[in-house]
Amino acid sequence: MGKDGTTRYLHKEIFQRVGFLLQAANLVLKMDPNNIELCRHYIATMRLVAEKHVIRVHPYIKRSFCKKCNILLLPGKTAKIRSRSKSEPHTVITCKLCGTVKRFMWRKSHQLWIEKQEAWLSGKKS
Amino acid sequence: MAEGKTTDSQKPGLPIVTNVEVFSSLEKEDLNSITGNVNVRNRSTWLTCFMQEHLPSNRLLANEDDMSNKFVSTDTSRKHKKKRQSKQRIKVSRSVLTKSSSYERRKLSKELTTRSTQKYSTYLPLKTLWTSYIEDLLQVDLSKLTTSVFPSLAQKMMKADLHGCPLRVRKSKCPSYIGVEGIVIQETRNMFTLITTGDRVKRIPKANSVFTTVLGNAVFTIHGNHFLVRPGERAAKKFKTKPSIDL
Repeated sequence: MGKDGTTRYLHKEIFQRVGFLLQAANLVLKMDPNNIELCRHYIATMRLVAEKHVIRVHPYIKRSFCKKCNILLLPGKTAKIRSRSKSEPHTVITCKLCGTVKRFMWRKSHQLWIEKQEAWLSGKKS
Repeated sequence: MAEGKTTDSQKPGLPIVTNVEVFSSLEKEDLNSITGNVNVRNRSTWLTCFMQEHLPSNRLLANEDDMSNKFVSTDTSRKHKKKRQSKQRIKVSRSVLTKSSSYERRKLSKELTTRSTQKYSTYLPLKTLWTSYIEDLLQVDLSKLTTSVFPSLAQKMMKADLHGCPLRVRKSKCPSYIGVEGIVIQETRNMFTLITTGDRVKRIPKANSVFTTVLGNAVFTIHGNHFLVRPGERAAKKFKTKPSIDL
């Protein structure tokens, strides 16, 4: 994320913190499945940090927690994943705790911003 | 034929006349039956009679003749309806929102109810994760420290996350907090929640206490009074050097 090919890494600490909080939330829930409240706290903090610094969070992270109750969506434990093809084939992820629903279409033409060429600066290719 | 015609012309006129007569007579009879007085046909008495007939008994006042203080508001029901509608609208708009309100969040949250069953050993991996994170963040060899790095280190530590950090209360206004040692499992605006080696969860207010953590050869001191910010907002906050009044 440097300017004009320089290898400056803006907001490095913030990205590190976001990553750490996500890992911590994962770990806490893994060690003790009753730690729902703690997991929520970590995810809420993570979101707040990312929000305050206006950083672009990777869609992988964005899709891994419930938007409403801030819990990590682990298939089988806190989330239910089903594929449906009623009107258009899509995946439905339901939060088991609050019942919020996420839907992802299976459109072949759809491309995430991060996957596009223009998302990457010309100096960096990885 | 002529006679027949006249009778025909009279016949349609007849029932009208009779109707009026019947109506007037009916009115008289009705009023008479209500009032019981044939002669008194004042408007006020008629009204009172009407009221007695149609109002429920509890609405009737002792001073019936005084009509000045009688109001029957007719539009109250409408107001009620309007209020209900507005309430329903608010409910609908709330349910549409993706973020939950604080009330809903409180309802969902159980707090750390499982406090008694929490164990220190479950949080040891969190501690190791935190140490690896902080080493990655600081990028300094902690065994060889020079005084020149201190300001930048302190700056980084302020922005760092403290969940999973081993803390110890060095100073406090409350003597029972001093010496408490454990891993931070939750940091809120005013509190550190620590889990001690004796499997106990302790909530310690940041205000009026000083905490220390040990990293390699370095000892970091956190002045709780300057740390009264939510952990997420702390990263964006600019710290000013304030003189701390010693306890």
